[in-house]
Amino acid sequence: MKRLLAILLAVLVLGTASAPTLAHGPDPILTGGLFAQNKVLQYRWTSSGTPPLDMKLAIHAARDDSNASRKSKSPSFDYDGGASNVVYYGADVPCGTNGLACFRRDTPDWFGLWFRPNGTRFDWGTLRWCELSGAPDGCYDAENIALDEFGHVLVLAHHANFSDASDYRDAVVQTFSRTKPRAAYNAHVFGRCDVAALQQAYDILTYSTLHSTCFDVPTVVTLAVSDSSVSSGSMVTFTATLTSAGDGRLSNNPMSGRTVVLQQRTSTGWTDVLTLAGTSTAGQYRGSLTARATHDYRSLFRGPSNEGAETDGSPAITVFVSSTCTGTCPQSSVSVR
Amino acid sequence: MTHRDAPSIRSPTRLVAALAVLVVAALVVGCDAGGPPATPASPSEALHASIPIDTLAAPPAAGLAGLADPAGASLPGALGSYTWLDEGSDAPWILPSSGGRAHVGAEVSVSFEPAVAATTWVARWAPISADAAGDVASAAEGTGRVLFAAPTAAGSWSLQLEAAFGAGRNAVWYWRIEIP
Repeated sequence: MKRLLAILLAVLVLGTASAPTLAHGPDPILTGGLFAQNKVLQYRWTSSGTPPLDMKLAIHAARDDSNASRKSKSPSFDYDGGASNVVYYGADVPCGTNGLACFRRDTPDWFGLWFRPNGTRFDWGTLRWCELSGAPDGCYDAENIALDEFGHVLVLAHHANFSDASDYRDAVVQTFSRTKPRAAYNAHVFGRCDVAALQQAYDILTYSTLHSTCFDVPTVVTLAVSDSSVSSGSMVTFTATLTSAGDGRLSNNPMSGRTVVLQQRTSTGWTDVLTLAGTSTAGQYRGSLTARATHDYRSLFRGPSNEGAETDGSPAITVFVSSTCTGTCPQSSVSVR
Repeated sequence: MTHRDAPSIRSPTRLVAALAVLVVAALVVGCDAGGPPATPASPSEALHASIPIDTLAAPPAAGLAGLADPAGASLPGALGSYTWLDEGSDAPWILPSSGGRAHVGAEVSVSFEPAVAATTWVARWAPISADAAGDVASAAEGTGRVLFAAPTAAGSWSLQLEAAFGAGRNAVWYWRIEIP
């Protein structure tokens, strides 16, 4: 009877609490502040803990991985023998009892990284860096772990995994490190949720940089018309603006290089009539058509599958067309200028 | 768009609650200064008494209770990765060399020492095979008191608990649990 009750309790608890979170939110970030946007953070080896050559190469590779995959105005990293920021390899580390590597940061000027040496014995086993140990199964990819540490230095806290951890590949800055040959043990680019957090903290790299698909950033699209009351056959120009409306630095950014369409209201709903072309002004899109009848128009940005951006439509604008034709007027015709 | 970050202990409501706990604790200590440490009236009272997280410079220790063995005792967890303000450490999914035993579906709980309250937590159970943790088989998540059920299948299990203690403080602990 007790066993039955225990099972019922377990089913109840797991049934109500185990449903994995289905959508990402922004990953948590560290609370100590940011480095300056696009700052170059230089590091050097410490004299008392210089890594062996293959470890140096792995850390430099992680530096390049971070610089190439940040997709934001987060700092980049570079090696300089005279730098104040340090990278240490050895046994004398401030890491947690079971830590393979660890970090400290003191914005806006300083950071340090520490890596435990190959062969370190823990209660749970022996640390093997793949780069130093002939890459047997069960080793840790130093380039991946170093990229994780560089991500922490930038501002990233550990990824908020789904309950079942099925989204492990969405981040390199992870709550637990995997060994060869588990999936993503050797990920060498920031995951989409790493990037999303960096973009929110430091801003996107350019106005045409796509927002990471980790979560959808709200957007606002507007529409203005050159003249809302015209005679039939007149050319009307529509100008739309598209901006982000997210949190942090993802607020009020012009969004260039996207697809914004002009829609016309019909008896059955809204229909695309024109794809507006980007102008030289960031986040601005424009197009013209010949108006032959009164219609409602709106601009629409459809959140694309390759970007974390929400769909938004502008309020409708009515273009009143005074008839100059007799009998049945022709339908609107469209031409882009 | 909503942040998944846990609410900060610095929020006014939490600050008042934390101060209230401190005042009560100070009164208790003050009235019993010469005797042994005060014992909470009940386990649930112990779980709800907490100190302000700002007083901790590093993650607390975590203990798992509700086990058949060690019965009536708390089994210390192995600290894995954590971020604590502007420093942190990265560790693997740890399989401790020794562990405890729980009944099928038993209700287990985790408390922290010093006694701080988790704002959010996720407990994940992964079966152990060939002395390694496999994929997560079941999970529970919650806010506040860390209370969840052991797996309903017998076997060797790895338990991971990830807990946040407000913005900027997050840590993970591991246990090895046998379920006969």
